[in-house]
Amino acid sequence: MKTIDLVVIGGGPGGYSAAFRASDLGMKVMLVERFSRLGGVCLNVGCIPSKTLLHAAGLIEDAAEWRDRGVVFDPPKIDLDALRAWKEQGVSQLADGLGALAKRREVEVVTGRGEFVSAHTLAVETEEGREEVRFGQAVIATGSRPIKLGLFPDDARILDSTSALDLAEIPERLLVVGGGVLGLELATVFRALGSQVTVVEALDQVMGEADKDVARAYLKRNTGRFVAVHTGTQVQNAEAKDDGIAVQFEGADRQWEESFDSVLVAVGRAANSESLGLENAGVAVGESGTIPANHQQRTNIPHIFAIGDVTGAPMLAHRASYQGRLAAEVAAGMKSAYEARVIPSVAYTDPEVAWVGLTEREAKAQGIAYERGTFPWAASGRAVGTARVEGMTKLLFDSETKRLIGAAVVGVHAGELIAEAALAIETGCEAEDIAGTIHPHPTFSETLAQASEVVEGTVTELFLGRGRGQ
Amino acid sequence: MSREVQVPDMGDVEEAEVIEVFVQAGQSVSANEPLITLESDKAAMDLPSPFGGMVEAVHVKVGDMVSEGSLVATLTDRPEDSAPKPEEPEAESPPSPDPVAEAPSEPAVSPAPPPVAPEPRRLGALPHAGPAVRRFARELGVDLEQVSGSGRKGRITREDVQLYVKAILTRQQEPVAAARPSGPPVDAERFGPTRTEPLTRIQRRSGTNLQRNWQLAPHVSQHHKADITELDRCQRELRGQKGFESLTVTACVLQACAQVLGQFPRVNASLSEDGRELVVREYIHIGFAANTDEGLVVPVIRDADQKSISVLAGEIAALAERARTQQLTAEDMQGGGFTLSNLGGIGGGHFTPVINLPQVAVLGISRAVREPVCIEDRVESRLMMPLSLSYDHRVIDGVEGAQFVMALASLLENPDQLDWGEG
Repeated sequence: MKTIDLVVIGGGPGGYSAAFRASDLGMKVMLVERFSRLGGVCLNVGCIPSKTLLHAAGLIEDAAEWRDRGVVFDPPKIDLDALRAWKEQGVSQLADGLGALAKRREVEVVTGRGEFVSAHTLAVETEEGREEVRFGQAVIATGSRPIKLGLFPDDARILDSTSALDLAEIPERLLVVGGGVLGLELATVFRALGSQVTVVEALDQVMGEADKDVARAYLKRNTGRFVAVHTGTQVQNAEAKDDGIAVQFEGADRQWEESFDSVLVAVGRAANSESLGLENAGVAVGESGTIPANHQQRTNIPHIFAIGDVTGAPMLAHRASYQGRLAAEVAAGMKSAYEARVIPSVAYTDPEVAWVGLTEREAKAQGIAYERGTFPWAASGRAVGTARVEGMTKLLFDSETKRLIGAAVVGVHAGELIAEAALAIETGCEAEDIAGTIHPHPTFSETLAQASEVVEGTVTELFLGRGRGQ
Repeated sequence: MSREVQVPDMGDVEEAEVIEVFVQAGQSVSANEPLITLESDKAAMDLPSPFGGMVEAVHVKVGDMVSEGSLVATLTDRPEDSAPKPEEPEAESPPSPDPVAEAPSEPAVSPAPPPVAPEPRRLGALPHAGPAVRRFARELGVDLEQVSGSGRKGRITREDVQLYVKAILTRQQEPVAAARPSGPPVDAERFGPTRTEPLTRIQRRSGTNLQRNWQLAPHVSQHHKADITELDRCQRELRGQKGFESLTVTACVLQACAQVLGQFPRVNASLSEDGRELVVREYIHIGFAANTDEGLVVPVIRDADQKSISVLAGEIAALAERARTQQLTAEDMQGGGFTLSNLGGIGGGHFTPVINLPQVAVLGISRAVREPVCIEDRVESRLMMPLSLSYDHRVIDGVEGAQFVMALASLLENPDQLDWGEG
C-alpha cells in the first residue's frame, strides 16, 4: 500500500492551500479532488466566476447611468455566449495555474473521491478503480454545497448559485430567495443582464449579518432597481406551472401569490461531510453535518484536520485558505494556531458592502461600550466625482481600550477598503493611529481616516460642532 | 433642573429623518454621547448630547422628520454628573428596547440574562500585539497576557517577548537550584579543591527527562543471559562481506527485538494521556542509544521489522555517524516505540536501563563473555550475553516481561531464525 505523509481531501482554496503549504514544508502530499479541475466551488462555480459577471453588471449599470452626465452609449447588447466564454476562460486560466503549481511542488493530484477506511487509510475511488493509501495525517477540506429547500419543485427553472452562474438564459421575472450576500450578488447580476428581480428574505433585514444602517445604505441605491425586496417574508409554497413558478408568500400582514419565470434559491450552504467514511476514522460530526475542529484545526482525531466550509460558518474562501495553511503547518510540526481575530465579509453587490469585526448589534449584545465614527461619502470628493455618494464608512472603537473593534463600508470598492480595517483590528489600531496615517487624496480610502477623525473630533470635511477634538 | 436638546443647525439640510434612537427615558447620558441618528438626502449623522444628564423624555421616534429647533429630548441634571458610576451600565441588564424607538423588526432580545457565557474575550481587550508577534509568542509558548508592551500605548513588540523569555529563563534557574537535583547541599570545597564543569545541553535535557521517567514509571528490570555462541559464529563468518561491512551485535539484537515485539504488541505500546487506554503501535520503530561527546542521543530506526540485519546494520552505522557529527534532526529521534541500549563495548554485567516514556520498555545488553555452562551433564564454554529488560509495570506484568526476555533469548540462540538479508 502506498504511504504518504499527508492526504488532503478537497481541492478548493482551503484544500490546495493546505496541500501546497505542506509540500513546501517538506511533506509528501496527495490531494484528492473529485473534479478534474482544482479550485473548488470558489474558483469554478463561486467567487471567481460570479465576480466576472458582477464586473460586467457594473459596466452595464455605469454605462446607463452616465447617460445624463454626458457620456452616452447605445443600449448594451448582451452576447451571453461570449460572456460565458470569457468567464470560462478566466476560470480555466486560474485552474490551469493551480495545476501547474501542484506539479512543480510534486503534490500528487488524484481526481476521485476519498473515503476513510480507518484512521490511517483512505480509499480513493478514481476512474481507474479503487486504491487504498496509508497516510500519516489527513486534512478534510470538502467544502459545502447550496442548501436545497424541499418546498421547491424539482424543475429546471429552480436555480441554485451553481446553475445560475451557468447563465443558461436570462429569465424575465426572477425571484431570488434569500437576501443574504449570495442572493443579492446574483440579484445584482441578473438585474443588470435584464431580469426583473424580486428578492424575498425571511429575516426583517437584507444582509442580516450587517447592521441596519449598513443594509439601509445598500438599499438606498437599490430600491427601484429591484421589483421588490420583501423582508420578513416567507415562501409558503411554490408550484411549477407551464407559464412559470407560482410562489405563495406570507409576510407580516398579508399573503399573496406571484408567478416567476425562474426562482433562484440562495438560502445558505451545507457542509459536505457525508460519504467520507468519517465513522471509519472515528471523526466526530457535529451540528448540521459540520466537523468541529480546534484552534489548530484538529478534529477529535488529532492527526486528522478539518478546515474551511466543512467546519461551519462563516463559509468564506479566505477563511478556508488561512485554515488550510495553518493545518499544514501544524501537521508539519510547527506550533501554529488559529490566531486571527477577525474575518472580513464582502458582498460584491452594487454598491459593495463589506464589514469586519463587531457590528453595533454584536457590540451592544456583548455589552461593549463603543464609539462610532461614520463618514458619509456625500462629503467625499472622490465619491462626488464618481457620482457614488450613497456610500458610507463606519468604524467602531472600544470606548475603554480605544482600539478599533469593527468596521463597515458601503460603496464602490468597499471590498478593497475593508482590508485596511481588518489590518487595523489585527494590529490593535486606535482612531488616532488611523487618523494619523496620511491617506492619499482624493480616494475612497480617505474615508477610513475621516471616520476615525469623526471619533477624534478632528474631522474637517464635516462640521460636528466647535470645541471638539481638543 | 431640566434642559432641552434641540436639533441644531444642520447646514444646508432643512429636514432630516430620524433613523435610529439610542436613548430612552430614565437612562443617563454623558456629553457627546449620541442620542439619535438623522438621515437627510445627503448623509446620516449622529446627534450628540450637548451635555450630560438623565434622560427625562425622548420626544422623537424612528421615522419622524425633524428640522432645526425640533425638540429631541429633555435631560435633567444628575446628582454627581462628573463622577461616572462604573457599575451601573454593566450591572444593568441591557435596556429593554423601547417598542417605539427601536425599529419593531429588531430580533427580540431577552433583557434578563446578560450575555456572559460564550464570549471568550473582548476583541478590543485582547493583548496589544500584531499577528507576527502573536505567532512568535505562540512558538515560544509565551502567554501574551503576561508580557508588558514597550511600544506605543503598551503595544507588545518582538523584543518584549524575547526579554520576557529571557527573564523567565534566568528566574527558572533559581527554582531548579532550589529543587536541588543534587540532594542536600554540601560545601565540597571545604574538604579539598574542586572545579566546576558545565553540563552539555544534551546532558541537561536528558537529565530532566531521565528524572521524570524514573519517577513516573514503576520500573521492573528482568535479567537474563542469552547464549550467543552461534550468533557470534554467524557474525564472524559474515563480517566484512559485501552488505555486512557495518555488521554489529546491535543490528542482530535489533532485528531480534523487532521480531519479538511483533509477538508482544503491549511491549510496543504506550499508556494514553489519561492513563485509561493502551495505545498500541501497529508499526515497529526502535530507537537505539548512541553515545556522543555531547551526551546520549537516541536515533530511531523505522519499520525495523521489515528490515534485514544487513539493512539495519547500514542504517545504524549511518545514524550513529550523524549522531557523532551532531547532524541528527528532531525527526530522526522521534516515533520510537521501544529502545535498545548496548553497553557491550565497555563491559560489565547486568544493569537497569531507564524507560524512555511514553515507551513502556527498554532493553539493555552488555558485553558477552565466555562462561562455563551446564548443558545436560556437560560443562561447555559458551558465549553469554547479559540481557536487562526494564519495563513499566503499569502496562507489563512480570509474566509478560519474563516471556519477552525468554523469547528474545531463544531467537538470539537460534540465529537461523533471524533475517540476515543478502550481501
